[in-house]
Amino acid sequence: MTEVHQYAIKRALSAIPVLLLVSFIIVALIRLVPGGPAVIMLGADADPQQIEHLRESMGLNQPLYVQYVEYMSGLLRGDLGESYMTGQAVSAAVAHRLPISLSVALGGFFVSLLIAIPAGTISALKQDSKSDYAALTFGLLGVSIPNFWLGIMLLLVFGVYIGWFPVAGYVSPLDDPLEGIRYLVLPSVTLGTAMAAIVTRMLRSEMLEEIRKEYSNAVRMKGVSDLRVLRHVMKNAFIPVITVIGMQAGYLLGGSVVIEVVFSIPGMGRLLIDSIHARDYIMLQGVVIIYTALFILVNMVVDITYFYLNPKLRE
Amino acid sequence: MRRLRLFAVRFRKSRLAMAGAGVLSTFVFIGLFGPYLAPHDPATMNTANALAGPSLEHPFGTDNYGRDVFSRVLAGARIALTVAVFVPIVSMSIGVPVGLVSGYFGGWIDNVLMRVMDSLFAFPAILLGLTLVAVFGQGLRNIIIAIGIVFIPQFARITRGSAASAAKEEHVKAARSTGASHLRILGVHILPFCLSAIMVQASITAAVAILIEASLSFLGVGIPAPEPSWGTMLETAKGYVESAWWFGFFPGVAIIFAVLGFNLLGDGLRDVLDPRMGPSR
Repeated sequence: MTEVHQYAIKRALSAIPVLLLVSFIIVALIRLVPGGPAVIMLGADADPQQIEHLRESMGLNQPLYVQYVEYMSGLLRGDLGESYMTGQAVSAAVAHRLPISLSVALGGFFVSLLIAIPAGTISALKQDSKSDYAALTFGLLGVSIPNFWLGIMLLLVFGVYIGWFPVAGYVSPLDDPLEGIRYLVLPSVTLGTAMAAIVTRMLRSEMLEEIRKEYSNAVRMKGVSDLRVLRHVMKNAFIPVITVIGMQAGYLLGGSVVIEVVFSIPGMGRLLIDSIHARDYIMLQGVVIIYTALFILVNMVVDITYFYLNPKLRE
Repeated sequence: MRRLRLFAVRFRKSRLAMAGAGVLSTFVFIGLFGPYLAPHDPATMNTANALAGPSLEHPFGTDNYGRDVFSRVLAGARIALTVAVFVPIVSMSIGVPVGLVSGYFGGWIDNVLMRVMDSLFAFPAILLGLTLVAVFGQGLRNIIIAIGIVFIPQFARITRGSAASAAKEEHVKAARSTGASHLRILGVHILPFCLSAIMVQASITAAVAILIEASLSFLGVGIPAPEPSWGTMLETAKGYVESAWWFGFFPGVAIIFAVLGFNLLGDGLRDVLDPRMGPSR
């Protein structure tokens, strides 16, 4: 077993208590709703007997830890309860909508790297040039623009005025690759811009630091071509950037909630917002737990990748 | 006093910090006096003049109820300013003490506190905000508390880092040997050492807080209509974007302006306060 395997196992094990604690916080939070979830769901002037019945069917009469243990054992069996509004199983709803949200998040991820890697590299190589200033401005503006506003504006220009892309909706790229991508372009650009800005800044400053180090000069003096020096610089600069990319990848999940509402994409984010508006607490609880688990999982993968790529940590 | 003067000199030299201060003083001015500057009452409806384009009378046009968008954007600055000021205060009031204790004492206290912070950190910001608002309800006060909770771990981590290195300083050890209480050491010797990092974080948090408030309001779970929150305006404007671009365009520009101000200030402060970290450019 190599060190990487050992680290991966250790890291995976350490995610378990965090998952347990976080899911407990969510379950407890939902039960903290002023007046209790059953009353809120049925309305304050509902028949008390009905409220009592719902409390019983939701298991709300039991102590919190019993509710939690029952919920988690259900979760392990893939049972997250049923929506109070539609009667649909929460797990079925999530299974149906999760791939949609993931495709949006992945699209955002690709767009952001597609922008950030060239922008950050050029900006560092040509410090204080016009393209450097452009990249710096982008780095600052990108984190200051609200993504939903950007989405609405892109929709207006490229959807309504020019008509290159559809205005709303979703087609799975698995069913129809071309049409699916056409639907994903604007959401991906909208979602990826902020992350692109953050990664551009980070990559630029890391590369500048690497370029200033002695080794790049020494290697260059030995007659190694600029392109090969660049390869070394990029490789070293990338290691810290990976952590930032990973953290941002987790935030793409959160950002996709807003994007799905802007572009009327029927993903998990839309489900979350609908369940908040409908006061469908069982659905809300399930969706939030799945989102958070994904976020923790992404962070875990990033940490392991970081360990794998950084030989210093392995010694 | 000397340190303060040095700070002022460096601050004035930093273009980023000065630009941020310029943008922010405009923003604060509008936030405080917006209602007096507004040419119209932001709440007065005039359905006969709904969705009218920009004109001399209405520089940003009118909305779906015929209200003056310019006046509403000005009024919205006050909400954004309130969020930008109070969210960092909420986060700091818990995050900073946690970080101080964690960094100063170390050991198992540090371990326990940081695990708790990690679990709070395990939520994506907007999701935690959404859940808290879904549970405790909408409205400006709840939004500020919810977003404030989201940023507790950032302050705790940053304070902890500075506090841990401050605790190793000679003068702290000296103070301890003269019998100073832990509380005194934390307040007099450790906290001042952490302030610059906390200030930078506060500025960045203010920027993100404005964005999250706008996002939550846009999603319809933030500040309810008819309050002229920029996010709430955009929620309505989304439905009219094809026929009235100005209705959605200008509130967004206002958000960018305010957020950019805090980001510029944060970047500038980082350069000014911590020359070791090197200028970001």
